[in-house]
Amino acid sequence: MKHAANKQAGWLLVLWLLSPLVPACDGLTGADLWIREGPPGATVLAGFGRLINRSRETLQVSEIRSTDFKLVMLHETVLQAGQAHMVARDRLLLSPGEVRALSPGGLHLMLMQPTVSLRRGQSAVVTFTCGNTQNSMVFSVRSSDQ
Amino acid sequence: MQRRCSPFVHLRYNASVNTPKDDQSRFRFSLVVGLIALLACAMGAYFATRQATAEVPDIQGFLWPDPVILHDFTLLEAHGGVFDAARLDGHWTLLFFGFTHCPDVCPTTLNTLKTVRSALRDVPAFDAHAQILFVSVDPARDTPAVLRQYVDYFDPHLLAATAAPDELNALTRQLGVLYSKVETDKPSVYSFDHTAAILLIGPARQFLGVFSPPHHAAEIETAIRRILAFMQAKRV
Repeated sequence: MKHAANKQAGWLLVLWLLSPLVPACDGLTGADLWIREGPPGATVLAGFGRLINRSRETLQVSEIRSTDFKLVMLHETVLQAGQAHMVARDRLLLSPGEVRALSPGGLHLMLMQPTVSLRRGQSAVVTFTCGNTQNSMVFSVRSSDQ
Repeated sequence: MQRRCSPFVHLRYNASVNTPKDDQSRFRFSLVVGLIALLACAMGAYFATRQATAEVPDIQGFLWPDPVILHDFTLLEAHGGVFDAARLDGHWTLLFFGFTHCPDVCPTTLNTLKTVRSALRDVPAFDAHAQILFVSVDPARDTPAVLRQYVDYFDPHLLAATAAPDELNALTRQLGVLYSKVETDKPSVYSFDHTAAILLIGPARQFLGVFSPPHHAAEIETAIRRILAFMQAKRV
């Protein structure tokens, strides 16, 4: 009986130690979130803004989804010797207090196959997943020349 | 006394008398003359080089004095017909390679090009003959109809064209432009790595400038103004 209790306490300790590795997305906030309007019929748009980790733990965004797009990916434009490379990022780590910019020519959301026509002034909801928790944010659609 | 000061006197003297001391003097004289000649040559070369360099303004990306002259290529233009080398004649062409499924670099660059084009409205030699050409490296998806809709959204004055890879490469090879398809684990999702520079072609098909990213419209505008001034001064 005492052995079983010790075993249970051991597992709880392990879970407690591991818990910072899968923190909730509650501490994740966004600012100045926007989607660049595309030409009519555009099948790929890009999302920009700032993601802020207001928690005291490192956040790992493992998945990004939106009901307004069939597929959302995190991409980074990398310029090397005059070549533009699109590099897919599987996850996004944000240390406590970190502000990560999503900006043209850098890290951005790749929003593919819109399920609705999005024109300037409208908005789309994008959901970020950290571990088993989620946080949804509103991105407003702006003119392409911004 | 005079003989010690003037080598020319030495020459006359040496012509009549030939002693070991005279040989030494002749050697010294030849050495001095040689050094002076060498110095003159070096200075001549220095100033000639300096003058030639001064003629070409120091403009980032300016491909002078040996611009490549573009020869034949044929693209399909989005608004119908073909865009071939002859379409460059008499125009200042700002050229950019990309694809319509590119959501970041391509829209950003097209907007930069619009800004540059507007900023140069006060330069008649450019304004009356300028054209912006967007060349898609993704002919499979970017049909002329798709391209037309894409560029019209940014500016109805923009030109767009594409071609099958062989034809496309007839142009990209001349410009040193690279592109390659990047597949993902989803067959329908692919992109292209591509040269993201803005290229400037002169009215005689001269490949005159490469403006590398990241692009700043004001810097490109200034560079083009200086290139135009230089080309006008050279009357080329």
